[in-house]
Amino acid sequence: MISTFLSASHFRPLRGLAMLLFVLGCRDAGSTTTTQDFSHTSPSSAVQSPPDDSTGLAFPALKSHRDPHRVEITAPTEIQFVDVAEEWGLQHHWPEQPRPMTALDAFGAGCAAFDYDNDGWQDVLLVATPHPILFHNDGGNHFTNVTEQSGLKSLAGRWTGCSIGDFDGDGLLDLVVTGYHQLALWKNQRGQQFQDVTQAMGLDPTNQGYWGASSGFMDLDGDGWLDLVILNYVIFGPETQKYCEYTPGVKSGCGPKTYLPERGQIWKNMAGKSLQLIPSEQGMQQTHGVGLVLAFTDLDDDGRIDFYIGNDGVVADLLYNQGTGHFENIAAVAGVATSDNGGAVSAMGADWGDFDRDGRLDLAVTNWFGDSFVIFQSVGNRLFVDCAKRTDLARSSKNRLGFGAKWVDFENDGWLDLFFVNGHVYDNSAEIHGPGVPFRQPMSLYWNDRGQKLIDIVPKQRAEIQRPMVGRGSATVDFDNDGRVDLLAVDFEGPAMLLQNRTETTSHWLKLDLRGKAPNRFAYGARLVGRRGDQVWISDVSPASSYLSSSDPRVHWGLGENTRLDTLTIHWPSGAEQTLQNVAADQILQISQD
Amino acid sequence: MFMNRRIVLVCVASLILITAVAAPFVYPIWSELRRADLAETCGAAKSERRWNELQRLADRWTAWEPENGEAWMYRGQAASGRQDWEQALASFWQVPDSDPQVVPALIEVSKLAFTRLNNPLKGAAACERILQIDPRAAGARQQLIGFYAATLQREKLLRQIQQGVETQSEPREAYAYAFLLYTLRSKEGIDLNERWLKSSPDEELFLVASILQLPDPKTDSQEIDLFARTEAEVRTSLGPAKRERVNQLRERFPKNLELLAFQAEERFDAGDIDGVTALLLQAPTTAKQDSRFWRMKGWVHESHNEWDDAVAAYGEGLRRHPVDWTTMIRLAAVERRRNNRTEVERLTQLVDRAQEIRRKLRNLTAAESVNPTALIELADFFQDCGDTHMSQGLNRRLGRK
Repeated sequence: MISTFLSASHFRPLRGLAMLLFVLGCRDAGSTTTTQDFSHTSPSSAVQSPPDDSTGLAFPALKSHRDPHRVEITAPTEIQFVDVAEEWGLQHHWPEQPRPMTALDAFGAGCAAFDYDNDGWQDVLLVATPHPILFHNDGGNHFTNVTEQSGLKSLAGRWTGCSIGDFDGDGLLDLVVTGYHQLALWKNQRGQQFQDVTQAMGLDPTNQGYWGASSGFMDLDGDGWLDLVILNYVIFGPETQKYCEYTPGVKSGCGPKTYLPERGQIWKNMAGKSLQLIPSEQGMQQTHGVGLVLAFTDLDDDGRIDFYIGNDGVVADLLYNQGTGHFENIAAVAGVATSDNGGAVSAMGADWGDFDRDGRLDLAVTNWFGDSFVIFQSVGNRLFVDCAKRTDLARSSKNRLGFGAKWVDFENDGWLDLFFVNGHVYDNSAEIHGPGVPFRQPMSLYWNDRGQKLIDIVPKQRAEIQRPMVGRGSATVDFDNDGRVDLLAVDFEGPAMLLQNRTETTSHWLKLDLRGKAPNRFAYGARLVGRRGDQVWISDVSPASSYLSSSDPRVHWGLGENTRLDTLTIHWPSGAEQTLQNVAADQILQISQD
Repeated sequence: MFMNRRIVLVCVASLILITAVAAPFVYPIWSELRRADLAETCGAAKSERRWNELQRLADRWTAWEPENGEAWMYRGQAASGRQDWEQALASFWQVPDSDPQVVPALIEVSKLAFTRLNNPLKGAAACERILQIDPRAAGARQQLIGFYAATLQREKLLRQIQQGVETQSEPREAYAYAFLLYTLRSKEGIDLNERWLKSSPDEELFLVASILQLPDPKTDSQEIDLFARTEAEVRTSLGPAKRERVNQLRERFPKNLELLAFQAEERFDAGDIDGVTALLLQAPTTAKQDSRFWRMKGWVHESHNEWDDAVAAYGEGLRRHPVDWTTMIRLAAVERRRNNRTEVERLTQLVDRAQEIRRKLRNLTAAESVNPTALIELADFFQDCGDTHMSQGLNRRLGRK
């Protein structure tokens, strides 16, 4: 009887939450009557009462570790950068994009620092539309635009990212430029010109219709030839939605999940003669697509290069090289798939570096505005924990939407600092999210307090460093070879930025320029380990990281007060090991493989 | 003269005696006749929709028999006919639990309270009464579960779900609620609380829930639904104005567990160990039933490298809410530090499954879109997390052994 009354038609339940709207596809619960207890219930019992025991506490014994005498750490004031781009002739201004910006308009561009003519000075490539722009470093204090004579004007397109590597083993760094439905492989001709060999090498100039993002050269199969990884973003075109309405009447470009994801590709280098696509079943099929950044390393010192793929708003991938041409995605178990709250990271930028000097490489990743940047601290055994909160990066990076990310030792104290470039993807972000969410945002320069805390020192920098920008690609490079690492940054609606490091410091340094045996002449994938007493320095030769960018391939270490290393061990990509004793500081040391 | 007076006295005495002797036999008959008469006249008035007359009759009847449920039912119906909803609710509410009409009366109370009178507290109370009378009353259970979910009364919500599973009266969505216990949030939840606040502007429950259900501005767009960001992510993205509102409410309702949990999780998101610790030290004893607070406690220990204490706290949280994948994420982080790869793999697998189920549940909008595979996954997930109570319930509903 009662069950009749309680049928849905008589008793209209709350529509409830959105989650309530769905109906689980299982049979209805029975509702036969068993009249039992006839006691009344007070109406007030439907209200969540405050705790009865007003003095009772759940965790009274929890220890507060707050130290009342704690001294706030202040970053050193001598770290100083000066933007010398214009003064040195590195002049390029990325134009303002259409309003409102689509996802493609907001994607940005990368940059590269590399020595294309082997004169010992790092040159600069700025990715731009309709063609990349190449600047020759004339000796550490001036650049000349050599785009015209370089041949890079030959291909017009909507270019985004770049990567550098000697794919043919001729001792000259070649160039890959990715773009929206475009791809180009340029072979370096005698350090003077670049020749388009895209099709000749088996690549498709339209990138098979994919939207190319970051790319990178690395010898993944141990044959000495640099293979190529190209990440792709999403399917976007005339048929797809251009704008999303975020608040009534306010539109901007849509996020990645509006579109179908595209996966990256691994191209095997066939002895410098061609590039052959590795079947996706061997690795890329396990990835989530929407890739933005990749960063190579050897996770477990097995001599095989693994790589991290940062994806936009979906869980990240970590492809572990099984040595058979196959990769296993171990991101989830490794702990790098999400940040420590379980949320997917909008991983625009990433870079490996041993920030806590425990001899293991950690991974810095940028994130969406309101979500914190992340540092995945290696705890060994291919496991990582997000330590952004411990280092205070979580709190201080919340109000930034980060792109390029690079570890760099600002003042050569031996502790890797962090360089991020930032900028929102909605040109009208303040309209959408409020005035506290600007489109243009200052870069971040995090000083590393001995692996414990990271403190943003941008507020102590000159006005030109503090200026808001539409940060996208970035790279680290010592342009003037003075032993202090400089910074290169893309302001996608502004001028190129070249931040000369003018830090006054007595700390020592060491720059290592490896020359491997052919065909991997620039020793991509080499692992370098320096030791002095119980101190350790560790780096890989792996210039592709940040965002759509490639950095100075030379390894730079700040040595602090150390005037020399006891040992420097090089694990060459070929598997050979070479150890140097008593390596003096304050030099650029070119080391050739024995 | 005296003779006449004596006769009168004798007659009166006889009458009294007769009345006294006969009354116990006559009164019930009379009462029954009167009740029948009232019932008949009330019934006639009701059927002829003469509401004022019915009101008058029912008033008389309830005054005469305040324990008569039928009288209260007629009074309630008369009030309803006259569109005096307050009186209708009050009348239906008066039907005693012992009356066979009590459940229909309380259903009327609930309907009136949740709809015309916008008094959901009374409606929920009616549902609670129904369930006291009939624990298998599925409609009342569903209504109450929806109310507790909308008002973020998580502990009561979970208890209702568990009782529903025990009595096989759980609504279809109960399992999703149990799974999403600490991540309940929706546009409709906001709308409901805002509607309820119109009639109870100072009600703590609605004030708190209406704010805590607020998503990031992105949620209102296509963007956020597609992003499916986690609670923590959404929370950190809240505008300063909303955060300020939470702070104001916390000052007004310092013992409110939801506000405390929100602030603690915000401090957690910012990596503020001291802030989380300070908030945990304020947590009332009821927080011990809430897995979120155990997770916070675990994180404080974790941040001080107190691995065993951290694991113990996370374990307590999972004991209270076995499918709390957020706690599993934290526990996995500690196990990574302890290099316990096997446990990391187990936890990671569970978290992956939880995220996948969550994604599927969130994408469901209509019955026809339900993917039975997701339900089977959910049942298996409850099982593998050690929540056999829920897994058995869902398997029963799925017709699985």
